[in-house]
Amino acid sequence: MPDHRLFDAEGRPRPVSLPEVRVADVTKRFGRRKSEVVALDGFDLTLAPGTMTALVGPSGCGKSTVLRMIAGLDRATSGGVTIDGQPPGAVNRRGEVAVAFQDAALLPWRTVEANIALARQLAGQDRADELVANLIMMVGLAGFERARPAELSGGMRQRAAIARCLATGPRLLLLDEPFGAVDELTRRRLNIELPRLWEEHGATGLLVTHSIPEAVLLADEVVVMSPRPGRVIARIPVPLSRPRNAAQLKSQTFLEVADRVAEALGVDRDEPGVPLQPAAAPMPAIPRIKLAAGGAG
Amino acid sequence: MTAITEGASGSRQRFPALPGWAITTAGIVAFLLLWEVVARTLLAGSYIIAAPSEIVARIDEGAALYGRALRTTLWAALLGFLIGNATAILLAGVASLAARAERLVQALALVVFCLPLVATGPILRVIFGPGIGPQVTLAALAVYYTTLIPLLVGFKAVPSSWPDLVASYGRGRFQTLIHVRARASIPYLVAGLQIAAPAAFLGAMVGEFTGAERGLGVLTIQAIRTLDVAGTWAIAVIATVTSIAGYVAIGWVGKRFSHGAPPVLLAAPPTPDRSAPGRRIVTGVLAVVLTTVVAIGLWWALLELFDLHPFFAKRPSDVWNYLFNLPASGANRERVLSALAETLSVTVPGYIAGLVIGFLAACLFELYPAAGRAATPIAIALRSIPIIATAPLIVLAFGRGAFGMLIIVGTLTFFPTLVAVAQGLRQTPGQVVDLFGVYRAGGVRTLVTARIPSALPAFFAAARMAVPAAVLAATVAEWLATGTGIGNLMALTASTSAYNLLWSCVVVLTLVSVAGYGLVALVERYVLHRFAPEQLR
Amino acid sequence: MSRLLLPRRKVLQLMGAAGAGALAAPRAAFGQALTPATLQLSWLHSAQFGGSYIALDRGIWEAEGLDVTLLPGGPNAPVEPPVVAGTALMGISAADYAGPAIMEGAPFKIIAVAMQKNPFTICSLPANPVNTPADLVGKRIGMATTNTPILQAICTFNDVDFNAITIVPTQYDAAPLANGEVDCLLCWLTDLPIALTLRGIPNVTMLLADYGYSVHSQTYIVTDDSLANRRDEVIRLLRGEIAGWNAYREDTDAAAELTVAMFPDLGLDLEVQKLTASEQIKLMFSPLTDEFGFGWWTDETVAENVATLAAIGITVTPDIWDRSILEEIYA
Repeated sequence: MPDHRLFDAEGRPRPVSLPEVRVADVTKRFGRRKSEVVALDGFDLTLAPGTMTALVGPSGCGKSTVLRMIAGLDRATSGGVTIDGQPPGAVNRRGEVAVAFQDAALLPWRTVEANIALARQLAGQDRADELVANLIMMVGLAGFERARPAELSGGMRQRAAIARCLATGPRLLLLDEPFGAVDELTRRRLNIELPRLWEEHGATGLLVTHSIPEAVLLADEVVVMSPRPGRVIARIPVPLSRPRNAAQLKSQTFLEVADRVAEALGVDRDEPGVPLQPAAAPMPAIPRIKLAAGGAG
Repeated sequence: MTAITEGASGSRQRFPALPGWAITTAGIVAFLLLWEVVARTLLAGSYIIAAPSEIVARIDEGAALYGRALRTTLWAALLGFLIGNATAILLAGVASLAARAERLVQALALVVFCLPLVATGPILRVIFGPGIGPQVTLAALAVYYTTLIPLLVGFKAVPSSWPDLVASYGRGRFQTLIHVRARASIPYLVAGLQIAAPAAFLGAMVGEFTGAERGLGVLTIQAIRTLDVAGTWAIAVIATVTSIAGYVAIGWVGKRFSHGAPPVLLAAPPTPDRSAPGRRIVTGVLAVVLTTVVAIGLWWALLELFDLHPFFAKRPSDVWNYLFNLPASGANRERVLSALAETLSVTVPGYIAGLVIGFLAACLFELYPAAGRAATPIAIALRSIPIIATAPLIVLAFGRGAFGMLIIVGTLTFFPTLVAVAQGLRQTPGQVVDLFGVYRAGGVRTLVTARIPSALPAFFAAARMAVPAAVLAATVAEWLATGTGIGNLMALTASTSAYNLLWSCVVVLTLVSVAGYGLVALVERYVLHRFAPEQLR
Repeated sequence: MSRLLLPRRKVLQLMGAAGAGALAAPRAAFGQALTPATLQLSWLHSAQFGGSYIALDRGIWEAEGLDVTLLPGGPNAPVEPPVVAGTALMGISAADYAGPAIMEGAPFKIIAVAMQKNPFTICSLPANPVNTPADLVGKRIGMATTNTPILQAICTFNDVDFNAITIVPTQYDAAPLANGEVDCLLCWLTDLPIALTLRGIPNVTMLLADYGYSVHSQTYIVTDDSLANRRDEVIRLLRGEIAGWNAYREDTDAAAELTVAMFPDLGLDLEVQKLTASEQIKLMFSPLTDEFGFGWWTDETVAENVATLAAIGITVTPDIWDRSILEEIYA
């Protein structure tokens, strides 16, 4: 684990404790009476501080619902969600939680820069132009600061969205199928980049995905959910070393863990999700820049 | 339909290279030539229509007078435009911040929009006294609704992840409105403002009928009364050109703010309601009851607030007594309802004909883009001409009876439908059209299978908004041209002071408009459910 | 000062009649505050209300201590509501409008009558004229359907078969006669016939008042409340009107010129205004007014009005006319 340094309002690094998230005995129902759907029933999950947990399961098992409840976007019908013992909401307002959405959710009328700055604005933080510029470099979008989302490729948009997630210095990162809408090649590339960004940043994380390789490569633990109503049916630790890298995709450990996850899901290892052969094209070199460079250095 | 296909492919081959502006110009020139010829031959010597050359000569001759009048009316129209649209934006904002209020806001906005001019004009004059108060108010009333509805749609036309993003930072509806919805709705707002430009101008002109010392509306009355046909048409042309200028200018400004996401619908996509049908009916009934109570409360409160004398400002109880509680109530009801029946007997067929023809014309223009290019400016122009100028011409051509009325109502329904459907047809997602191209589907097939379902919401939006417009057109034409139906009955009040009758007519007419609107909304749900369920998301 | 936007002095210069301003001097010179008073007209500004413009222009009301505002009417501007609401102190209505309004609960009275004779006319073309009610038989008449009772009354008074006339609902428009769509029009003498004449279409008019249609027109109405509590202002306002109209009678052309000069934004045609003014005084002045003064009426004329109104379905009682103001003025 890297040291858990985050950044204060001025972009200066500060030591912080990373939060523990507890989802305890949560039930979630949609609709009323006859048309009622039970999405989750007696669902329990704990995200250990500073770890990345991947939540996998068949479509409609309620994995996104779990994420949305932690993000404070949905409420549990019964049971509770706490972040370091507090309900979501107060924590969100301080910019300590960031969510990456499947469709990037960039506002088309804002430039890349302005979209990233929006997160700080919403969190009530100051503009921190240098921090934003560094984030843009870090995700490999240098030169596209003034571009609008429509001028970017799907992968570039997703990188901008991740930069926006990191802009407020969150202690909790919630990734809701962040690469669900990008093409295969880009997805693989981002699967390598994301762990590195997260490792450097340091945060408690939750990744919702239906891709087994993605889950294994990014997470410290893969939680497998049953079909509706969603329950935890397996918790599989990922003993891969950090920092993660592309080479690990071919390691025996990786394949074993992926097989266990697939088994728990009752599917082939290769589906649903990406084939495991490494990308034909070489990875682009992305400058490694310390997030803190913009602040006190 | 088969005939149209052949025609379509034929026309595309014949005029492949003409640039758009050339076709548009040719369309306008052809239209003006036809007009000149008809005025100078068929209608020569009649006091109905002036030739374009006569109109130009008259405008030149009276330039100073018309300039002053235009300035007066334009000022009132501009104030009304600003106030009406600001109100619409405010109401839409309130509806967006308090979701529960949205239905009420929409329903009340519709009720106010349905109020007939004949009734509101004199009351506004009493409230405001001399000056441009009534002109500004009527202009504002003419625009707020057509801005509010697209804006409400625009506020919702965002991917769910955008509001979620704001919420994920613990911020609420207000921040979502500021950072996401306001900006996302701009194309919709622009579409609404474009419709509003001619409406504000007409509102200001009609406002001058309540007693004004200057303005284009006043000059229109003078010209009609003195059999000054060239003058009447000169004013109509000035009004039309001004309206079109407003329309174009707003479109131009709007384009600068466009970020490549053109407005898709003019209608609020019905929100999915997962509750049980029984419960839905209960909520529906509750909504109607609530709206009625609030509307009646506002009616009563406003009259008391302005301390309006019960001689002409009737309270809800007066109308109730007039229709239900007096010995003569039976006869009173009979009088109102038979006049209403007379009005509806021309309004409903005219409305339906306008919708159907508007829809077909839009389809035709989609197949023959050249025809569409040539006709669009004329369609905008005709929509902007004051009905008081066109009504006599239509009456001459089609008679003073039901048929003339039918044409007037049909015309006023036709243009908005044409514009909305044409826009809807163009909104078909590109991939869908490409897919049909891959399979070499013909123009008509693409139209029927792909484009029309995409255009259905726009069509129904136009159909809903056309309900009050059609009723308004019918009653105004009855008042000014034919002397029949409920429009005439209301106008009679000026000489008979039968204000109980007037207010009863207003209530009945408003109920009919709102019910018609609701009926179209029901049909819309049914049709979209069957033929374009994806639009109900 | 008057609230009309054109300054009075400018009008005087335009008129080249600066001397007329002399009358304005006395009261204004003492710097007394003028009492505001509003007169609601029944239509857009035109020579139809020329007497009021003279009163305003010559400072007659100013000399009476009044600051008078003239409110124009229009197609959607009934006179009765602003009078009842108090927006206007006095309004110009007509017996066939004021009668029903009073019956509907409007608390006002008719205090003076500007048009002794009703202006309703049958207008036809010389080739196919309507000179007497009997000529109406077999004709197509263009009119507002609202006015059907008036035609019925004329038929009843003159033994003409109403069913032998074809009514065409043309509303208020001269074009159908010019276009040959109808044979005659039911309209005001001072209105459509003048428009036709001016377009070079000679026409024949038959005044209904000459065939038993006795309805006071352009009547002054004032609320009971004003009669009791603002009586002095009502007297001064009406006194100015009387003076204005007497001057109007002296020189109708000058009145028409004043109208055109005061309202340059209305696009008024001077010839139309002159014709209107000269036609109108025939309706306003009679041996009765010569004897008793402008605006006067007698119990006999009121009785005729009540009878005519009854014939067109309007029930009124003679007490809606109140002559006390006129009696005070002419005392």
